[in-house]
Amino acid sequence: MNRLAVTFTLLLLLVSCSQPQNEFGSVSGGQFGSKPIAERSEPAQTPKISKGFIEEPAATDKTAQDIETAFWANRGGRPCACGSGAGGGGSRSGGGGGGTSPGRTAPTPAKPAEPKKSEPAKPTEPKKPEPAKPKEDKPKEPQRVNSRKVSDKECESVASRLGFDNVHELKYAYLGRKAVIARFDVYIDKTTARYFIGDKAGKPVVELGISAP
Amino acid sequence: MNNLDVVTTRVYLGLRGEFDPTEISDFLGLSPEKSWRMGEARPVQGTYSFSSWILGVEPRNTPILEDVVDEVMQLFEGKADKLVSITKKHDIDVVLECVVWFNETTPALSLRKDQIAWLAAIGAFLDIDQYPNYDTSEI
Repeated sequence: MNRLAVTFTLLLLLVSCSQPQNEFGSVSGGQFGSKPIAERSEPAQTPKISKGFIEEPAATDKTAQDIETAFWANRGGRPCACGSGAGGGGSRSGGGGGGTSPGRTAPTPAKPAEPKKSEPAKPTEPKKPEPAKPKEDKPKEPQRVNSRKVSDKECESVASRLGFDNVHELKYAYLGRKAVIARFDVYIDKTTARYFIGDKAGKPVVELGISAP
Repeated sequence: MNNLDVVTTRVYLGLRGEFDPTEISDFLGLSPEKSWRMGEARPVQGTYSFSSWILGVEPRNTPILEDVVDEVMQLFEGKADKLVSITKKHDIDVVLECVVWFNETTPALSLRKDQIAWLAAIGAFLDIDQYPNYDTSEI
């Protein structure tokens, strides 16, 4: 019996020594406390999930940027200094598509966005030099003559000198069969003092063959 | 009402292309207000690069474009099919020319749906040639 009592007391000591290592309170507190800890850990995980959802809108923003960059790339570039902006968007989309989405975001909205990211990101990079080309062409376009638009009275005198009742009839007769008459006016070349019919920008279209008196 | 308030509007239907104007007149049964053939001499110098057949109304002192277009539509009433066939045959360009001279009073440049539909039916395009700051007493 003494042996039994000793062994029983030893077991009790062992049990009592092992319990304080798990928790500071009682044994029951440790057992029931495991659930709240798990519950605490869950809300600690939900922010991570919420972060994932936060990242997803960011991912959708990137896709929107990619769509935008692809839109401007198809149109030959943005009207103002888009070369660097398009390049930045492309690099962002490349980083976002490769790094974030495949690992963390198991939810569906991130995965369908991936092919969209990868597809438009590639064509934007080779199309970077395209917007620079029209900029080079633009300065070549303006070919203006040193001219001024003729006043109404002067126009009428020009029309009558050429045998027409008014300026409209003159333009109708001199411009081609496809011409939209309203788009043209009568001008005079200041250097040569000769009249011509030009477009709204003053570019000569038809020489009238007479000069100012 | 002085001359500055007057808006003068002239509207005519113009056919332009490479054709014989007399053929158009005979086919439509209408005599043009003015016509010329491609290659004919211009009044003073040069030659016409295209044939032309014009029929419209004399200038009206009204700022309402719709009213004058109605008058032109009446001239071609019942001729739409013939107009389409002859213009397709000779690849003729049809234009409704609206010439507006005005000064201080601005013209009312609008067309109704039926007028636009008529233009589409005859295959015509619209051209509104405006002359602002104009002394309309000279017209």
